[in-house]
Amino acid sequence: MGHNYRDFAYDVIVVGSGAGGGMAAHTLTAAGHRVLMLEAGRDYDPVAETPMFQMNHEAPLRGAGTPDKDFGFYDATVDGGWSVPGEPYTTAPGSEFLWWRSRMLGGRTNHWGRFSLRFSEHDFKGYSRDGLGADWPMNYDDLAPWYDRTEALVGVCGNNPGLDDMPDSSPGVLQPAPPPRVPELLISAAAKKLGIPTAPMRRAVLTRPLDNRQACFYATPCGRGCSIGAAFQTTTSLLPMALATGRMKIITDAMVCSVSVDVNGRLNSVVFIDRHSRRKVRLSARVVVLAASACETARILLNSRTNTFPAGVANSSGQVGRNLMDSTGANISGHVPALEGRPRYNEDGHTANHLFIPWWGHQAQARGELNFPRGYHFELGGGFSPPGMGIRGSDSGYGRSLKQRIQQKYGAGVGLALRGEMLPNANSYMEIDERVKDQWGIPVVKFHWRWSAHELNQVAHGLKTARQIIETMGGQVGMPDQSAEAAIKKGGEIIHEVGTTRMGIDHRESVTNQWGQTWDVENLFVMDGGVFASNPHKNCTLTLMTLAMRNADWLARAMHRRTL
Amino acid sequence: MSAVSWTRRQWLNRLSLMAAAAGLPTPVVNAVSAEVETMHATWVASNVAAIEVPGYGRDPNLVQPIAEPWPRTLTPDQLALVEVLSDILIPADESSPAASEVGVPAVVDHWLSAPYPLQHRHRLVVLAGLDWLQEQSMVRFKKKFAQSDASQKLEIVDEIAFEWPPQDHPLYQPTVFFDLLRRLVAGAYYSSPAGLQALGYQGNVPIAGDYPGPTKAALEHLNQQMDKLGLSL
Repeated sequence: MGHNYRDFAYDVIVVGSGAGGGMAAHTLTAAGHRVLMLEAGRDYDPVAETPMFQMNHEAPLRGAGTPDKDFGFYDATVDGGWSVPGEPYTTAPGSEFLWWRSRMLGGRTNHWGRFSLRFSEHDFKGYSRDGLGADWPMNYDDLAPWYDRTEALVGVCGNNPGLDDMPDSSPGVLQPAPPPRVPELLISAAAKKLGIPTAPMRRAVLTRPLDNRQACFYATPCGRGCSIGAAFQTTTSLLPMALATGRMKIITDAMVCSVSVDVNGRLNSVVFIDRHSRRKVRLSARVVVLAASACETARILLNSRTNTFPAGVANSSGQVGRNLMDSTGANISGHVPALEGRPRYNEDGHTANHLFIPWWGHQAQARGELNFPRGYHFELGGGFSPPGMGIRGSDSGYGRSLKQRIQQKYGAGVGLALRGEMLPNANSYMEIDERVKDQWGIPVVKFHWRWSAHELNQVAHGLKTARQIIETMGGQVGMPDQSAEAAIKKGGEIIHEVGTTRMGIDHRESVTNQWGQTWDVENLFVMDGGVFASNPHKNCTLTLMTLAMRNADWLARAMHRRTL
Repeated sequence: MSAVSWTRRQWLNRLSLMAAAAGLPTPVVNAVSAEVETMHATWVASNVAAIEVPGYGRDPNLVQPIAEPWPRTLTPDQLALVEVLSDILIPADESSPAASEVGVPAVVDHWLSAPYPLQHRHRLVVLAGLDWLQEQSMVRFKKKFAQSDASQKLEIVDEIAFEWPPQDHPLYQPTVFFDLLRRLVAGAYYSSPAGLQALGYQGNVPIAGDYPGPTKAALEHLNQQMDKLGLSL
């Protein structure tokens, strides 16, 4: 997007165009404020660039993942993945952490899973219940109307199943969920026998048209992005809407490296590197919203240190970079003879699970029957998915019988993907690695990571439960019993990293207040996943956007009142 | 009784006899080794260098993909072997074509020629495996695998296609090779348009209106299975 911003008068600089930045910009421009958005990556047009209907056989290596495209050829990630060329990160000895980044307009919203589960009061007050981690500085009731508004704007399909882990949306907010498919129904029946409920997954996928966006036509995986706007991403929704107000300009290829604070403690400018000219550009600012992603935002704050702020900007608490959390993850898959040779039909659906298993253990946990403090859910997999190089179905033989077995077993595999809450711990954090700079001369992030017994006990419970479910279907788990240590995904691998600039009620223990306003710098806000006080198992993006909408609304009102 | 008419079980018996024989005094070993069909070629690890051409990069055109961004590298002899093996793995039957008819050998070549670490590891295994097949055929039949007749080829393949020998067994690496080739050939075949049809894949078409869910036949099948398992929705 153009470099004609020099004549553009703006009230707020928003750093980042993903879920948080997109929602902040949408809210601020709708309220009449003028926004200059800085995006580190290139411009990206999902209408022209999304591979809709292209098949695996049309792609190199049948679309399989490579170090160039970790999630497969068609994944909507530009210049990124587990690594970004010229922009390394480091890990401390003994730590493993993976950091997914993209360098494109819309950020990671172009490819995310679109799972959109509300946090509940239970989730917001974990510390009050079990003394671990931190409470959020607000109640569910404060956020509920904002969840409604966010779901209505984004477009979320699902229902209100009346389960204690799934707060209701207000009537009329949700769009209809698509009906479940055969493998999901069989898993549901097996789970039911074990006393475990299933429910329609809530996803940011339109099943009804909304503004300029079309309803899902139930084909082509959402991870590629969605040229018709059915699967939510900021590049087909919030960003065009904000631009249509005439009150926003976007500068792409603008890699923000630091912010500056004046002697009075007010932020006065943002410094970015123009990736084309490789020159530093300084922009003055009345208000700045950082939404660069949890770890990139913390990196900017830490790299903004001066003699006056030796620990970095907005870091009088020392909490910037601390409390880094991901979701726990583990995958269990199996083969189910009952699903062999079943009648074929189109099982693409909205290309992710129509049913999932919400956390069902609240009461058992309250009774002290579980040896871990927080919950998890299972995302369900299986079905007649588009075949690629990974097809199995037989591990021996050849010839006609091999063909028959592969065809017989197609669609008979199921998978349960565990996603659970992690508690913050003192061994899991990020800092600046002063020894290493990226290609722009910016010191890079160094990760420290360790799971605690809370997460390992939770994953052990999940592995056992998933095995029971698969065996109740008459299936065989495709792997030997694994320890939780072996099965748990690496830190960062679930791509739900949050908490590095957490919000709270006490400026000594948190970086921002409940509005995402940093305690130290009143005109500096954080509106990405960094502000999470805890990381419930429910996938962070919906809540991240809900907070950004609520807090940008608060910011807009403060600016109207001239208190900022 | 000719070797080719043996069942796989007979072959395994023969192999175990051979293993037992290995510990016997010299005259008996000589007697066993006189039967050339029980000998195994030595597995020679490939040491070919990694392919150093650019990959497709971090920002390829996804809408009009270049299906083959790097050159294929198998020699004509290697490719011919892959073709023979592809059709042993996936022959034509009444309802779908053979692997070679839908371009599987070229896809395998493309895969093995990719400048990425996984594909390089696969290349090492497959190139060594192809050489081993030729030599195994020399040991058995005094002609290379490519020149052996169909039943002789199957006799060799039968030893590496079914069961996993212990890791120190001379057939272990060949079995690893054949398992990998089976996965590559099956993946290439079933992701091809003919393969999708053979599987009965019906997706990747736009649906107007709501997703209809399972068909009546699919639900009936599910209900039968749930009855058998004592499950209900």
